[in-house]
Formats: sequence, structure tokens, C-alpha cells
Amino acid sequence: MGSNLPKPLTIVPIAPPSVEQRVARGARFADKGAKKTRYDLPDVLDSASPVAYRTRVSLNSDEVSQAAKLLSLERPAAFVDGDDVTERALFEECSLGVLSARQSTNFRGFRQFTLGPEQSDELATLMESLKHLEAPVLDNARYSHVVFYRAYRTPFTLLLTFVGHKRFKSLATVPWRGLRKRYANADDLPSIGYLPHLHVGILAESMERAAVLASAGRRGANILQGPFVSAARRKENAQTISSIEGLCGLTAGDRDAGWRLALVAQVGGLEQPVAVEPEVCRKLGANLLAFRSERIQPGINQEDRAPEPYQRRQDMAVPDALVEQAGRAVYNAFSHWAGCDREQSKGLILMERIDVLTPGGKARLREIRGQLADITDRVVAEIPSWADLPTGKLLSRSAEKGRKAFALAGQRIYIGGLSRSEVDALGLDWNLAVRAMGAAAARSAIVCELAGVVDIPDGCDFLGGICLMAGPVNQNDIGKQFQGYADLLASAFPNREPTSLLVWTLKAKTVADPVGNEEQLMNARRKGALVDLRPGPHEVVTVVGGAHAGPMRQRAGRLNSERAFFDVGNFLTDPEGAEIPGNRGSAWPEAWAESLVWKD
Amino acid sequence: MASLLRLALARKPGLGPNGTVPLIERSASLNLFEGLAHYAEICGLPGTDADTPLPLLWPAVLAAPLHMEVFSDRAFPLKVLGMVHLHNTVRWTRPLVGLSGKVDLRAFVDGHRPHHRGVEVDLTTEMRVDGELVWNEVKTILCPGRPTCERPPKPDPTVFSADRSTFWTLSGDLGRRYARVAGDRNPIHQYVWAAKLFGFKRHLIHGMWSLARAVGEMDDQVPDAGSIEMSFLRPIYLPGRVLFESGRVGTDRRFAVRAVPGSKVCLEGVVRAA
Repeated sequence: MGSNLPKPLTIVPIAPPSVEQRVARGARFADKGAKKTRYDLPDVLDSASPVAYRTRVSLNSDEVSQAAKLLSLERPAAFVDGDDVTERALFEECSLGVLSARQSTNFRGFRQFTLGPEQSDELATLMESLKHLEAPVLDNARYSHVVFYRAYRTPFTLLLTFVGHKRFKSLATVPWRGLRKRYANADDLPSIGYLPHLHVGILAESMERAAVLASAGRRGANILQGPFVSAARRKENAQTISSIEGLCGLTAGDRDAGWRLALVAQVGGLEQPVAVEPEVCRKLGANLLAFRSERIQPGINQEDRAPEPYQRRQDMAVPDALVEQAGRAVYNAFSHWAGCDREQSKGLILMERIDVLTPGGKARLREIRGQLADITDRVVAEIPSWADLPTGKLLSRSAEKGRKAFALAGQRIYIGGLSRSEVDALGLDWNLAVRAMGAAAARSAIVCELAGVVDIPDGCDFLGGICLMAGPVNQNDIGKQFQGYADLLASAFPNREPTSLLVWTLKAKTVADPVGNEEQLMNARRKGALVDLRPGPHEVVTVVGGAHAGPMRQRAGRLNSERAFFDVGNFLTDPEGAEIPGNRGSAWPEAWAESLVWKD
Repeated sequence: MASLLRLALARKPGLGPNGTVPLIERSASLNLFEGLAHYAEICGLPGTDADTPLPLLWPAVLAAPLHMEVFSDRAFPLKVLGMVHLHNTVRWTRPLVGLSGKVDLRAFVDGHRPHHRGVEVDLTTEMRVDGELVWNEVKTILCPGRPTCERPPKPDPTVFSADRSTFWTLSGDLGRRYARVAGDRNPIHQYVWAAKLFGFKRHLIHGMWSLARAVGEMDDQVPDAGSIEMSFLRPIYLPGRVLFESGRVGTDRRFAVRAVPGSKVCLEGVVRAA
């Protein structure tokens, strides 16, 4: 009999490079009159998001070993009476959850309703009758988050409408596919349909940790998603789901707009608090908001115009022990979220590890890059001219730009996926397994990102980072659906019908990616084509019950400008310490922030 | 509005060669909480019940009718039309929490000072609770006229490293909404056309709104007892966007509101613990 208890994790530090190779981003404000580039600091930050432009916070070995406990959390068995939650604690919890989730796959496809104690009791009673629960519904939750999601729709998916058509038939097939997307929520590619589930999985993983972090270990979350993962299960539970939607105030219009129940997180006091010092929680929270996709490996895939720190190659090795721990995190997380035991998860997860520094790894990387480039070339060539030419070749230029979304560089590259037939054979729900895969990749990423902030040397941004992306998988899926290519994992796992789901690259380096990559998440005017903006709490979270029910942090004509965990002070500045105007934000009034959200 | 018009158009003799502004005072016992919720809503502040600290500028708003009476007193020798609010100092001796409904307010002017663009008058307001002076405010107002002294050298700009920094977006009707609660219906705050009649390019927000919001941004950094001194340097036009910044300099907390685009300081000040 296997077990789904997590194996303990340790964070293995990455050794810094020689002193001569240590570099930091050192971004500055653009000179007056000069054209601003992605390597320059943003002029301002005017955003209600709790995230802001942040820097990594160095953790010592004791702090990081405490942090590791948060990467193997177990589902609470019961809730005990705990403290009432303050508005700020709830805000910070949401900041680490639905307001940031994970950067590389962030899409504003979530809405959250946070119910107070009374509504949570009502919710728990309703949920008792649900089928396919993966764990018992708990009594005595202090509050509950109910998260809704919708289909993934971005400029990228708009572009996909025009991909994969025959030359003359496209006049009919493009509008047909567009209509099916709009009115039947049909996706252009299967992998686009998996994206919301990957995101929900990543979010569930973040929310579980966020409840513990925001309460300094006193509260935990019981996250339930089994009854809602598929159309068939939703149909079985339709009546209860409808009641839950009613409790949240979801309207018929919202349902027509495609909002579907994704998960319920019950939050309450833990019998055995997680032993993490409050200060470590603050630092870790601030760090989680600072972790960003790291796409550039200096000296490997930087642009020619990139500043000098990006041009220097850095001889840094990823310790094998870290790779082992990152893998362990994957299996821990998958078994936790899919509800299977660890040994089963080891058998199910198809993970190709590419060690780029070996000759075999180099050849494999070249092969993947070549395949993705070929697919892109064909996409660009075959976009229907009748749509592309009138828009000034906007579509083909966007497809061309998309190459950045699947830049593969780093010391280690992982391709993760599952075999649908094997998942079915085990009696697991496919969508739940996809969610578990998202969570597993995210947890593995955080193990590596934490390793990258252990004892950061002076003059360095960090020691390693991760880029977690679905871009290469989506591109490969275009090839699979329309151009006859095999799955990315087909050669590594022949005869197992693999479906690749995510790719993540581990980069040991000391210089952070250009701040312009973050700016396109924070600044509507510089919004990139493939990303959505970081939301403010009022845009995504609705508090239900209590004296100030309604959109979170929208009060007296004011919107949030507080940055979560601002007391840690990890805000990006220029090398001389000059601040980005608006970046630090301003505290939410104390009388509001320290008030109890739901008084007994 | 009619009383404002009467006040604006009232004939005033001006200061004679050796004249000064005599002591003119008004006092009243007022309900502290009447209108407070609306004021807090407009300024984006907490503090609408006895358990939450009172917004620091609220007593000044409450005393606005007294201010009008002081300036409309026949003995007040200067024209009200064209007066410019230059500086403001507020002092408080204890946290303004748990106050009962009625407070005693007194407003007065007494004397004047020379200024290179006319004369300066201090309008002082005091708030007493059970006879104890707990709060007072001095509004320094320029009454434009012939120069009565040399222009003083410009002080060096105060430099501080901001630990709070955020943008405010001000709607076009903010001046009208604030006027309704504060009673200051000066046309320059109401409509573009009205402000243009007085030489402004657009209408502008009341300085006391900006100050109230600035104090609200510093919120938990404001001491239990202390003072705020601030100067209005440039108008903040509506609708508009400004940058608020605040940071520590020694034991003081400095703050400034800057115009966007550009970064000219519209308002600056300092908060000090007593």
C-alpha cells in the first residue's frame, strides 16, 4: 500500500559564481529624451495591485528550512476556534493567492468570493451533499474562498483562431471556429483547454500556502475541487453548485459569460499550527511576490542590445541534490492534489529532464527548438492573407513575436505531462490530474526559486530562477493538430501516448530578467500581447458578509494602493536607491486594515 | 452661495498706514459627528464613529461657518475676494478618539504680518473638549495687495526618500462634492468656466481636501499628539492625477503632493510628534 504523505523537502543552496562573474541587473531610469527600453526602470507605477516591482529577499539557511515546511503542507483534518481575521491578513492572503497566482501563466480568468463564518457554515452544509469530494468537508471554517474560472481567452487565443486553416476554406472555417469559441466555449487546441486547469492547480497550491503564511502558521486551508473539475461532475452536482453560486451572488449573466466554479477553499484555525516564525512568513510572502519568470540566460539567449550584465556568460552549476528535491516536490504535490499515492504519481507523471550542459541534452534542446521554430514558420506563412493584410500583417507579426514565449534556455529543462489513458486507467479525473500537474510544477519551481535566494551575495539579484511556461506546449500542440508533429514527450516516452502540459527551465544565474517583462504585467500602456495585467483586489475579490461586504479594498472612493508585505521593503530602485514613483504604494488606513472582517 | 457672494463683494476699507486686523472672534458648540460620514467618504478616510480617530482636518471643516462669520464681520478690514490660503498648521494634544458629540469651537483673527504680495493674516481655530484645548489650527491667508516687505529668498527644497508613494486620480466633480460637505463654495473649485473667470486654466481642488487626503495616506504614521505644518505651493487642477509621497527625515515625517505629468510640488509639509 502506498502513501500520499509528502516526503520532507530540503532547500539546497546554489553556489554563487566567482566574484568576477557576479552581476546584477542594475537597471536605471531612461535618460531624459531617450527612448525607454525594457532594460530601463519604469517611470511610475500606478496600480491597485498588491505586487509592485520587487526584489528578492535573501534568506539564511535557518529561514529557508522553515520555509520548506510550507512546501509539504498536509490537508487539515479539522478546524479549531481561531483568531478572527483582520482585513489586512485577508488582503495579504489573497495577494499570495488569486491576486498573483503564478506569473508566467497568469491570466485574469479568476474571480473569488470570500464568505464569512455564517455563509461558510451554510456552504459546508451544502457541500456535504456533493459527489466526488476528494476530502471531507470541514466544520468550523472561519471563512471560505469560492473561486470561479473561465476559459482562457487572450490575444494569443485570438491569433489561434486564424491558425491551421486551408487556403480557400479559411473564409468559412475561420468564422466558424470563431463562433464556436464565442458561443460554445470551444478551444482551438486541446492544450488551450488545459490551461485554465493548470492555472487552477497552481492557484490551489498558492492558496493553501497563503492561508498559512498570512496567519503566521495559525490557519490552514482545506481546498476542494473534485466535484467541479469536469462538465460531467458539474452536471452530477448541478443543484448544489447552483446553490453555492447563489450564496456567492453569481448572476445568470456571469454564467453566460462562462464563469464556472473552480474550487472552494475552507480556511480555519489549525489544531497544530505550522511552526514558522512570523518574520520568516513576512520575508517569504515578500519573496513570493518578487519571484518572476526568468527567461534570459546571460551569454546564451540575450538580445544583442541587452546591457552588459546580460552579455556575460556565468559558469554556474545546478546541484544534483537540488534537482532531486525539485523532483520530490513534483511527486509530493501531484499526489496531494490528484489524491493518489506517491508511487502512483511517480508512475503517472511523464517528465523529461534535459541537462543542457551534456552533449545529449544540447542535441535534444536543438531538436526541440528546431521543431518549434518550424511550426512557427508554417504558422506565419499560412495565416490567411485576407485577415492578415488588411490588419497590416498584425497577425503574422504577433505570431512571429510569440517566439519569445517559448525561449528555452537554462541549465535544466523539464517537460512535464501525463498520459490520458493511464490517468483514466487509474480512475482519476483527467482535469483534476491536469490541475495537479500545474500545482506540482509550481511547487517544484518554488523549491528552485527558494534555493536561488539562499544567502544572496552582495551585488547579485539572486542565484537562480525559473521560467514556468505553457508556450512551447501550445506551439507543439499547433504542430500536433494541424501539421502532423508528434507530442514533445513522444520520443522520451514512446508507446505511452503522452500529452505534454508544461515546460519549466531552471536557470542558475545572478542577474534578473529585464524589468520591462514585469512592466508589461503592471502597466496598461505597455501591456504585452500575451499577458494580462495584475489585478487590484477590487477587480477580483468580493467579500461576502460582514459590515463591509463588496469588492475588496474599494471603500470611500478609495482603491487599494498598499503593497502586500510592504514592511519587508523589497522594492526595486535604481542602483543609487532612487525609487520608482508609486512603487511603494501607501498603507490602507489602519482603522480599516486592522478591523475584523467578520465580527462575531 | 448668496452669503459667499455678499462676502466676496463686500466693501472693505483696507488697512490704513498704521492699521492692523483687530481681534475678531466667533465661537459655537457644535455636534462633532454631523456630516462627518459624508466628509470621510469624499476624502477617502476612515473615522466616522467615536471609536476611530477623528480625521485631523474635520474640526476645521466643522468650523467653516465660524470662519465665514469672522471674515464677514464689519471690523475685518480686508477684502475676501482674492484671498489665498498659503500655509496651514494643525496641532493636537491627544488622540482624537472617544470624543462625545458636542465640542466647543472658537475661531479668531488678530493682527497681520507683511508679505511681498500684500499682507498675511492668521485665522486660528481651537477645539475644546470639556474645557481642555485638544486641537487647534492656524490657516495663514494672503490678502493680496501692495507689497509690504521684500520677497524672501526661496527656501531650499526639502529632500526625502519616500517610503510611501502613490497616485491619486481626482475626478472633475470632486471640488463640487467636497464643497457640499465643507461649505466652501468658492467658484474656482466648482467649474472650469468659473475658475477661468478668476484667471485659472481649470477648476482646482480645495487645498484642505488635498491635505486631508495626504494625512489619510500617512494614517498610522501620524503621532498621537503632534503637529502638521504644510504649504500650498501650486493649484491641483481637476480632473487630474497627482503623486503623493512621504518619507522620514530624522524624527519628522515629510510629505509632498506632486503634479503629474511633471513633478512640480503642489503641496508639501511635515508631521512632527509633540
